[in-house]
Amino acid sequence: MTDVRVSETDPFEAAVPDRDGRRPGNPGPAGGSFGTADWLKWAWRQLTSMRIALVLLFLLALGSVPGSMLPQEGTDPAGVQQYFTSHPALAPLLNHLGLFDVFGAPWFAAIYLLLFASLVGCVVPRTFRLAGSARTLPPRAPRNLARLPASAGYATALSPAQAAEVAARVLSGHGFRLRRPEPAVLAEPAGAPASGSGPGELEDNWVSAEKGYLREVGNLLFHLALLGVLVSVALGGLFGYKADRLLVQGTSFADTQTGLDEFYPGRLVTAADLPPFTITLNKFEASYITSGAQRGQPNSFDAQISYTASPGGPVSTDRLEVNRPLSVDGAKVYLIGHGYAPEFKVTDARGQVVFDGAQPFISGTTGNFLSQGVVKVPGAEPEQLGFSGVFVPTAVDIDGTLESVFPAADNPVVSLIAYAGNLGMNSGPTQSVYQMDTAGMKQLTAAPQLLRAGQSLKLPDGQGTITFTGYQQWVSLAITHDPGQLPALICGMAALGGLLLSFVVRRRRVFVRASTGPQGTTVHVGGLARTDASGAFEDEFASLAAELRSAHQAAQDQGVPPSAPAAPIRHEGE
Amino acid sequence: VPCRAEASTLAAVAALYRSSGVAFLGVDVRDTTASALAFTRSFGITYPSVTDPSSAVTLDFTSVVPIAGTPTTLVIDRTGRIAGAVFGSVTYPELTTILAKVTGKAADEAVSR
Repeated sequence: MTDVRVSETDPFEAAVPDRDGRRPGNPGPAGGSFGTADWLKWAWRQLTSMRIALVLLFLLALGSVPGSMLPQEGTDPAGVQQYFTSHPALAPLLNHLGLFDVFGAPWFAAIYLLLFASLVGCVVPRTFRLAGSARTLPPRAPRNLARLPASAGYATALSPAQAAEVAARVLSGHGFRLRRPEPAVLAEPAGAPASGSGPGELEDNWVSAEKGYLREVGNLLFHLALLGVLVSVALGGLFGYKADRLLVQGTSFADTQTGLDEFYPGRLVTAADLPPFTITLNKFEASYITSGAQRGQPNSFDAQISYTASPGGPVSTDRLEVNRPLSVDGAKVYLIGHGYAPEFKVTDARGQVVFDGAQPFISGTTGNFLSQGVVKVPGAEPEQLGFSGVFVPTAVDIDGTLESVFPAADNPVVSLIAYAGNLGMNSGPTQSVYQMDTAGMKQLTAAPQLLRAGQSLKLPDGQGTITFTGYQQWVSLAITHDPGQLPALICGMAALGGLLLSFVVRRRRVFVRASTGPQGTTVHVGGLARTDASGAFEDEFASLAAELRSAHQAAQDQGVPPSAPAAPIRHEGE
Repeated sequence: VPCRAEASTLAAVAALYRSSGVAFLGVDVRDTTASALAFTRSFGITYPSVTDPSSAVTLDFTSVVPIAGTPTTLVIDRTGRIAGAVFGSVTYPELTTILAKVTGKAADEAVSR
């Protein structure tokens, strides 16, 4: 990003680098003898160039696209599984490219790090250059000011020295940084032999003025802020975490790894870093539009919770709504989903109650919360029992098929298929509570059995009973902590501010030279702006020239030599 | 499922070390009482268990031993210090080794008393 940098010598003169950061006369890699060091230098210059930085920025944006198009391991592992089953040929290929975990993929990290290096490689030298250019004075006034893009000239009765003094005062009042001829030259004895044709008095009465350093400050701010955004994002990746928890109404969970369903810690986060809060879902209400074309669309969600920030602490209550998270101890708790958890009571062949509680069911894509789930009863004797079921909140029989016509539980029904045998839970890895392995089980009921709340299903051969006792609602909560979020916002705003500053502020110079001509003293004013797309400098220069002229006129009318300049003027060699 | 896999080991070792003054306590995390009782019945677990549906016990231990998941076995010595921790399914040799260190009695001595 070096297209608008201040060159070491003079930003207005010829050494302005081209867009690739190459200086005129600097050979490219095609040059004759090009050693390893030259290649490295060339590669570094390429990397830190504006073009490459923009390409990298574009690639970063492009690389994020699959993250929103494809399900991601970090946020939607079930979606990834589903993608694998629905696209068996394509999915392994995409997985190989890391497209299911874009932000953890090596190629994404590569883009990220290259962009970071590019920015650092651009910003660091630029900072030094800006610091340098803030200290260097404007160049001496050119001899012929009429050659400059903007110029003016007029005569005055003041002496050249007086005219220069007045001009310096005016320009200084406008916030210009000034440069005047060296005092040593001024004090040069008249009799001393002049070098060359001798600059003499002719050369001594000029003022160089420069303004618009804020442009570079803005530019630098933009780059630094961009760097800050990258650092903030990295901060979030290292010290942040994401977690999910499905919480049934009337139950609570503690923010520990066992209390969470999924926990995705940042690289430098462990479960011990989780804030020790506990949340209870007291009540969840969802309301839906009941008529019109929008019928069944959600109207509002409201999860009433109580929580303690740490064990034994005071209990607070709050409401979670969509986009209205709870902030507790640096973490944010978002309401991201909801569903139904039918309640069952299961007795086994020996008449023992082996299951009594709510089992969350997951709604599919069909809408209206037609939800699926399983009830696993490993404690049933003599054989383990399992049920796979569908919960229908507002059930309607359409040609023998059970459909849900409304998302609210207006007519809740469950449909169950019962199994007995071995659930495969006594060994092997952790199982999902939403899936059942029926390989070691036999189906007890030929067709799905429909139950309304309070109804029971007697299993054949006295294997037990299952009762659909009612339902609860559940919410899924996302718990996130991103320490980089606020810094990223601040840096983003700073980047915007810097960009605006560098667009609005122009770097410009004004020179005034007073010389003794045939008609007395002639004042020449010249000016140039570095980038002046809007053309506003012409107006500024015209008004400045007019002001200088009237100031000279006023000084001439007063007939008194101007006093010492009000603002301090820096002289060369100071 | 790991916690069902280790249940009979725990029941056996608990019986073995009862006379040596080792008390076992089960913490039933994120479960219903009915299922938990069925679990202790199935595996013949005789030591007491408490139900902890909200992981409150885990939370209380976090500052001492961060418990990363279920099952976790913690051995606490007479002075109240954590003498050993096993994350995941505990095996007979693992548990008896820790208990032998704490009680000074190997598994065969413990039962012969």
